[in-house]
Amino acid sequence: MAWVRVNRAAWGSLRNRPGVTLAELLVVLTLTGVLGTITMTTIIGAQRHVRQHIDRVAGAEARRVTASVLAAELRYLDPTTDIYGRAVDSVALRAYRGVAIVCVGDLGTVLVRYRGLRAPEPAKDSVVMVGGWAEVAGGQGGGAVHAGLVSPIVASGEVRSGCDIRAGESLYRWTLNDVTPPGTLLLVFERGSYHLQDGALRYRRGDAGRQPLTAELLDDRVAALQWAATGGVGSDGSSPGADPLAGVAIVLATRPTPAGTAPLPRGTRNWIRLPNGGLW
Amino acid sequence: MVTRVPPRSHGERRGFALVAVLLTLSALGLLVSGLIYISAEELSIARSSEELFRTRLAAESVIRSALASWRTDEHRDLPIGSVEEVTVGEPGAEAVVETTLAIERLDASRYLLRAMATSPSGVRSAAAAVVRTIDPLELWRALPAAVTTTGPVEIWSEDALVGFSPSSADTGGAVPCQAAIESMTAAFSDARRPPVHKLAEDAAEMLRLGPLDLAGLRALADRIESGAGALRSIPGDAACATGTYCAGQYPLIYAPDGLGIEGGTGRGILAVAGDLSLAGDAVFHGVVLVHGRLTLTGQARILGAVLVVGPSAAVSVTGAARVEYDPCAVAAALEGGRITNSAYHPGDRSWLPAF
Repeated sequence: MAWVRVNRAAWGSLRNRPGVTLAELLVVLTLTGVLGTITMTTIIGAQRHVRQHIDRVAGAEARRVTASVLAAELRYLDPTTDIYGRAVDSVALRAYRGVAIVCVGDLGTVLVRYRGLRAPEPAKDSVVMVGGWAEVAGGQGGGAVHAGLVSPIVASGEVRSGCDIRAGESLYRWTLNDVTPPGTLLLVFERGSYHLQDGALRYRRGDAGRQPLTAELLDDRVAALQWAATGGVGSDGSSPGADPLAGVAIVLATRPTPAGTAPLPRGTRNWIRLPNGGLW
Repeated sequence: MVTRVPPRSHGERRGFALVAVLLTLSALGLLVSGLIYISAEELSIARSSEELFRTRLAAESVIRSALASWRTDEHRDLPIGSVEEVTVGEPGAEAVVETTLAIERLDASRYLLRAMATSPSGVRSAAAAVVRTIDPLELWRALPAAVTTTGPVEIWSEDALVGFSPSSADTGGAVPCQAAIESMTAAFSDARRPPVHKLAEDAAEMLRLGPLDLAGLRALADRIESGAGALRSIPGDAACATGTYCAGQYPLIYAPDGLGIEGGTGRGILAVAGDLSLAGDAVFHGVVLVHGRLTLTGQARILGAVLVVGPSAAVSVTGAARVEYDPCAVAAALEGGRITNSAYHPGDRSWLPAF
C-alpha cells in the first residue's frame, strides 16, 4: 500500500537520524505537562472567581432588593395603625399603593385625583383618611374628616372629566361608605405581609401564598428585622414594649454556597427610621 | 551510508503550540470579560443603591427644609386645591440631585408638601408630608370681648373697658385694619360691636388659645420673661416703641411665674402662667392671656383683647387704666406672630408615602 511505503521511507529516515529522541520526548512531555497544569490552574481559578463574583452579585442584588423594598414599604408607615404585627422575620402591614385627593364629593360617590403604583382595585384595596384635626380640616368642606378611618373602595372607575388633574395623576370616580369632603387625603392600601424566610424576601397579600421577591440567597440564620422603640433599641428583634416604634434595622447576609465557592458571606444592616413614630 | 533528509521549511513544519496558546488566551479573555461584566454589574448595583439613597435623602431634606422655614402667611393666599411650585436650592448652583417642591392647599388649615428628587442618571425619589397650620379665625374665637374671663371683674370707671376701639394707626401694619374688622366679623358673625366683658366659654379653667394650651404656648414662645420690669421695644424697630403697628415682629412672650410690668410699650401676644400686673404708663398692643389675676393700675392700657381664666382668675382695672378691644391690634398679633405662621404636626400622621 502506498502509505506503508511512505511510512517505511520515513521510518527509515528517522531511524537513520542521529539524536536523542527519548530525551526530546521527555522534555516535550514535561514542558507540556507544566504548561498544561499552569493553564488549567489559571482557567479553573478564573472560573472560580467568576462563580464567586456571580454569587456575590446575586447576593448583593438580593440584599439590595430586600432592603429597598422593605424601606419603601416601611418608611412612611404610621407604626400605631399601619403595622398589624411584627416579628424577627416578618411584618404584617398596610402596603400603600397610591394617594388620592378628593376633589368633588361628600357622601357616597366622589371624584378623586389619584397617583399610585397601580390602578386602584376595589377587590383588594381600602383607603385610610388622613385627617389631622378634624373639625378644622372639614370646616370648608361641609363635613368632618375622620382621621384614621378606614373605608373599603366599593367601586372604582376611571373618568375623563370632573376635576383638573396634574402630571402623573388620574381621575377616578369612587364609591365609598364614608363622608369625604373635598380636600380629604386618602391613602390607598392593601393588607399584606413581608417574610424573610426560606432564603428570600417573600410577600403575601391577604390570604394568598407567599411569593418570593428575590432569589433564595439570604441566610435565614442572620436575616432579621430588629424593631426599635423610641425608648430604646431592641437588638433581638423582640417586641420593645409600649413605646412607639422609632425604626427598624434590616439585617441581611448572603448564605454560603454549598460548594464553598463564595469566600465569605457578606452582610448588611440598613437602619430605617420611621418618622411617623414620633414628633418631627 | 547515511541518507540525509532535507530539512522542512517553516511553512511545512507541523505543531500545536500556536493553536494552544490562542485557545488558552481566548479562554482567559472570556473569563476576564466575564469578570469585567460582573464587576460592572456589581458597580451598577452599588451605584443604583447609592443614588436611590441619595435621592430619597434629598427629597426628605427638601421637605424638612420647607418645614423649618415655613411661614404660613406666604401661602395663605393660595386657593384651596391649588398647587404652588417652589424653587429649591440656590439659583444657578450646580446641584448633584435636582429637586422640586410642590405645595398644595388641601383645606383652610392643611397643606400637602410633595418633593421630588432626580439624580443625573434618572433615579427618582419622592417624599410627602402634611402640614397643619393654625387659622387666625380659630384664635379669634377665644377673644370675643375686651375682657373674657371666668372670674370676677372689678372696674373703677365706665371707661375702663372699651368694647370696640379700632386703631387708626394701621398704615404700614401687617394686617390692614379693615381686613382685621372683617376677620373679627367672620369669627363672631355678629355686629361690629363686641361686648366689653364676656364669660369665658371654656369651663375647664385651663388657659387655651385655639388648640394651644400653656405648654404649647411656652414651646412656641419667642421670649421668656419673669419678675418685674418694663416692656421692651424690639431692637432696631423704633416705630414700635410708640405703639404703632409695625410690619415687623409680633413676638409671643411667655411668663411662667407671673409678671409685673411698670412701664414701656410692647406688642404681640403676652401669655402669663400666674398673675399679671401692668402699672405706670405701660401699654401693650395685642393679645393678653392670663392664668391667674390681671391687675391694671395707673395709666396702664391694653389695646387688643384679654383672656383671663383659671381657678384664681380675676380682673381689676383701677385708676385711669383701660382695656380697649382693638381688632386691628388683635389681628396684627395673631397673624403677624409665630403661632399662625408655624407648621404643626397634623396629629395623626405627617409623613406620607409618595408616588
